[in-house]
Amino acid sequence: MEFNVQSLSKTFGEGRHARLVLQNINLRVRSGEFTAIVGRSGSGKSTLLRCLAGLERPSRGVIRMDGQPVTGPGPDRGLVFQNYSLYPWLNLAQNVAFGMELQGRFSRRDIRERTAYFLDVVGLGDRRKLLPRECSGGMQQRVAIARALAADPKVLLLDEPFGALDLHIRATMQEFLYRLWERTCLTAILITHDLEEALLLAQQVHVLAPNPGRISHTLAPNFDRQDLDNLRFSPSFLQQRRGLAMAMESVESCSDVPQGAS
Amino acid sequence: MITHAIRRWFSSEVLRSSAWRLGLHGTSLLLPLLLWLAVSHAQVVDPAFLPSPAQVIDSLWSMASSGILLADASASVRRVMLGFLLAAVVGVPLGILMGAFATIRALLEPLSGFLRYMPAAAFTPLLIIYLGIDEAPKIVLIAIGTVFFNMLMVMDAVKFVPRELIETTLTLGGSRRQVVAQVITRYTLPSIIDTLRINMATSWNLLVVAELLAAEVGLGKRIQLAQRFFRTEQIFADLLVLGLMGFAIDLAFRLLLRLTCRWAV
Ligand SMILES: Nc1ncnc2c1ncn2[C@@H]1O[C@H](COP(=O)(O)OP(=O)(O)OP(=O)(O)O)[C@@H](O)[C@H]1O
Ligand SMILES: [Mg+2]
Repeated sequence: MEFNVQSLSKTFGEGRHARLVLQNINLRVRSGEFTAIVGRSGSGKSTLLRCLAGLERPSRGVIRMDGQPVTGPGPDRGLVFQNYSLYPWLNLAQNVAFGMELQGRFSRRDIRERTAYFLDVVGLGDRRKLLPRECSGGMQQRVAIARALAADPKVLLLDEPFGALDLHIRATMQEFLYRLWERTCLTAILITHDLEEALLLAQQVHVLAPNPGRISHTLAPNFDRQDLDNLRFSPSFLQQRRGLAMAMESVESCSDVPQGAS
Repeated sequence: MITHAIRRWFSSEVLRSSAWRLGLHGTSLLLPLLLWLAVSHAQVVDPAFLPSPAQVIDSLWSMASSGILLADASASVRRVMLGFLLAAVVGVPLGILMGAFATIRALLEPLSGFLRYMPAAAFTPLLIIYLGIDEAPKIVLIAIGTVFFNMLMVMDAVKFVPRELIETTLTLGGSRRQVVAQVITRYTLPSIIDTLRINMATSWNLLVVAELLAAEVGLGKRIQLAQRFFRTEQIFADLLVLGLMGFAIDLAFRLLLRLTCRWAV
């Protein structure tokens, strides 16, 4: 699997109201990679991810997956939103099974087995009968991840999946996602505004500078990730985080010039 | 959604104990009854205008034992149900489609928004000309009077389906058709049931209008006849039956909501 984004631009609106949100984005994600895209609010992260998912059409440029242009949403690209995305009338197991049922290419037995497997993977095997509203935010996000994985995508797209969770649960979920990625041959693209999260989890970190959104830095942090909780506070991690934060700051202060129509 | 939040807020304040709730419910029904008893007992109003509860029950009993009541009620229920079903079968799917597809909305919203403001009762002369004086005009009147409300209320409910839910479905491999049938419809089911419940009340209102025209049997017809003979106790009795049946149907809808949408109540 290879994801390839070539000179992607996205403009919302037309004429005088046109607003350039993404400018000339180039990206490449290979099979098995964990990529993070980090940027502050309004930089166009979600728009970029929605383009990758096929939910938004690029104004210019192409997105290819294994050479094929992406023209719309499809089951080869699983998506996890920040919240509101479980089907409230289905219990957790039914939520996980739903994608497979929609696709119609899984047998009854496959669906049953895969549902049980992925619920176990996210540690909710014994909660299968609960309704979403009976679950905490962290549990709901784990189910959303399990549901996306069970539908058998080639790449998992995550839009600030832990943004609504408190710090403690967030750390647990980051650990969870990282171990999941290690264990399975998952390809993941994670959107976040949290530098720490990006550096902690991803092999490739792309920084999206705002107005218009463009990739200003790309780095490949190389840490020993045996112990994420300690890594957060290790000097080399903190140093790299600080360096990146300063670099982002300097790019942003340059981009505060008024932007012309595209 | 908002009403749910408000309802929960209020209920958590006062109505947490079911004894309290039952007490209040009882009061809301018993108080008017006591008042009625007191007023008719004190004879402040001419009994010809305000019959006593006993007279009303007598009248109810005699209508029931002669079989008139059953004939009236079943004729009325049949009309309401057919008209209501017609409006539901047409209005709910159209409402869902209008909510889901901008093109269908653009096509139908102005028309239904406009037709909705034409009082259904005013259609009756036309309906009689077109459809005769049998059951058809009565049923169609009830359907016309509610179908546009069904469409617009269901359409509004569809707007509350979270965008994330629809987009998640598409990325899970769902087709647009599956999104409409399995996600939008399912998500709006509680609102659809509520819409139908509310428009059921309108159907009963229109029933009486419909029966005033030309009917042999029916609760509305009976009321009209009773007025001609100045039988106020019969009017009261029929009103009581209408109210009770409406109330029972309302409860049935609430029960249906509870049974089918445990996640939303
Ligand atoms: N459908 C749309 N129509 C018009 N403008 C849009 C649309 N979607 C996004 N935008 C604009 O594009 C810009 C980037 O939005 P986007 O949601 O991608 O940012 P983000 O980086 O995800 O922000 P956040 O961290 O707050 O989620 C915003 O200024 C937003 O107003
Ligand atoms: Mg966003």
